[in-house]
Amino acid sequence: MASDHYFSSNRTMKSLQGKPVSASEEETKRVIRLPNGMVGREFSALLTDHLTESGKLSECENMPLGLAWVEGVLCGVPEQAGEFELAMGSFIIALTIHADPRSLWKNLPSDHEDPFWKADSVTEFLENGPLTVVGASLRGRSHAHVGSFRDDDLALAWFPNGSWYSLTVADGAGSASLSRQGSKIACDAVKQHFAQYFATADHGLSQTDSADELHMELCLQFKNAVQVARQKIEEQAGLLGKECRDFHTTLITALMRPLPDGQWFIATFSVGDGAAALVSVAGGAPCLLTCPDAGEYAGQTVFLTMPEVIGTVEAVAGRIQTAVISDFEALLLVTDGVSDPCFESESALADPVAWAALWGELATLLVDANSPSTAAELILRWLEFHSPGHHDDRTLVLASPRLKFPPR
Amino acid sequence: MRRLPVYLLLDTSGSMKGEPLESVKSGIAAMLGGLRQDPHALESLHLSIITFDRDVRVVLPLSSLESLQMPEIVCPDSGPTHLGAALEVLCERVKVEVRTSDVAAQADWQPLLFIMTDGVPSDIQLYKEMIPKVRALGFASIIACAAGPKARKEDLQALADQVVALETMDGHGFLSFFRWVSASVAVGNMNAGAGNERLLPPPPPEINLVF
Repeated sequence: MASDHYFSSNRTMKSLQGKPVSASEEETKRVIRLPNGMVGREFSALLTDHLTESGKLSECENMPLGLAWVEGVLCGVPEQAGEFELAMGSFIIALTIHADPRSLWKNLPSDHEDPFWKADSVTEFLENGPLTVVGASLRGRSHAHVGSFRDDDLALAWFPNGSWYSLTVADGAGSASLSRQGSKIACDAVKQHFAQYFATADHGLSQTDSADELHMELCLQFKNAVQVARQKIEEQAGLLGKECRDFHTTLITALMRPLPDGQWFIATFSVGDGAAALVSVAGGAPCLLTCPDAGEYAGQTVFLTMPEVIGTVEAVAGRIQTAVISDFEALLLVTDGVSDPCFESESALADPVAWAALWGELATLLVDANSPSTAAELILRWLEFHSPGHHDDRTLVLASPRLKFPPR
Repeated sequence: MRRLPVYLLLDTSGSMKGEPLESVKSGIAAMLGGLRQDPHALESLHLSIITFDRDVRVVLPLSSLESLQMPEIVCPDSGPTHLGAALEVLCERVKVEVRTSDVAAQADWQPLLFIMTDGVPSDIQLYKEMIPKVRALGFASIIACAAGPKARKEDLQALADQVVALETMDGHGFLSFFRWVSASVAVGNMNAGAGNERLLPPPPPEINLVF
């Protein structure tokens, strides 16, 4: 790039590097503004001959650390952020170098005294049942930067009666003051509802062979589960003199169990963003099991805590998806803190190849795990990955028939 | 990467010439310096600056904070305040520059709009016509700053979610306003992903909220 392309202007330099300039020096100098640089990133700016001849930049005492003047090129890897103005003959070279954003993130503790304090990270796993189930939830950098709480949550359970799994993730809205509690109440309430339901010997979901009856029972039970969650949130809001919207949260729940013929039955219910998907389904069946609620702009979604979302059986039924599959590698549940950076677009979210790639990365990572608890720890560490512009809380749950650990 | 688009509409009519404009410019420079310390802003903030007097100029097309350079901002000696025409240009720019989910693979965060004026729209008819069009663009927040005694707050209230008043048009006042803008942008980043409501930080004492 030649200097002609750089922004340049005439102005009188009243001061240079903060020092007052004497009257004789106060003349109109041409300012050449170079493209911005970043600490730690290769920088190179070529200046034209007439400019380099007019003075020697190498003699400039304010050369940013890490940069050097090599044969007409200002180049190097800057080590220091700031605004720089380098005098060169009748020219001023102006340059902004900003810090690497990674170096600017703070990690401030959240308030332990808060009545709804939540740990910055948590891991969970299930020790019983035919699948390996592990999950982790991590406070996002944007929350750590200001010392606020993790708003995500998760709850995992396996019920031996019928061998049902109930796996839930939830994402509290960033703008809602008690959303961390909203996501917790929702996860706990759903788990509790199904614990009671599957504890009864003759519960409908394990009894019926009819697809229609099964679907009706699913609608009823998901509706009951999320209505209990809603009620508990309303109760808490009432006690605190708050509104339901102060507890805004999304919710994704998957119910799954092995069928007597060796196949797997999976049903999901979802409100809001994030996603649940099956990886490597035999026969190429669709992998995405949720339909994320998205608005015109990023981050616009709906919440469990909005009255219209689960008001009727039809509204609930529209949020349920089911699948019966002969084989699969894994079921993944993620909040948008994971789905946003991992899937570039909504079409990628529906792409089995993209999910297989995510699973591949996780499976490689978990080769080193020798127990569900170490697997969960590895996932928690994986959730720290850096993706520019994506610093929300992250929660991931995986259920897989493939992951096996040596008996302890 | 998700972008947070922020539009800044600046009054450069004749009455801004001299100290007021110089104060606005140093206020913006200070704001950019502050935002460059915010990792979230460095990664996602995209800023556009549109000036309006007799003419409307896009002095800075929507650019990432990382790459943008402070543009030249100049004032004519005198002349009208074409805020209506500026809103018309704004609508065109937003439609071209901001990505919504129906046209882009990855949609932007809801954009923010800040307007700073020290006068009254000279093209009041066009201004009134543009209000519903601007509001339909889906800004997360429209904040107007009425600077000095001649700015008519009532006109701005029809457009903005929040109108703030600056009593004095000196460097200190503008600096406070732009500090507040950057704090609002940081909150915008924090709330990203939060749905439709947007909470603004309390303004500094130099700035009065107009109800």
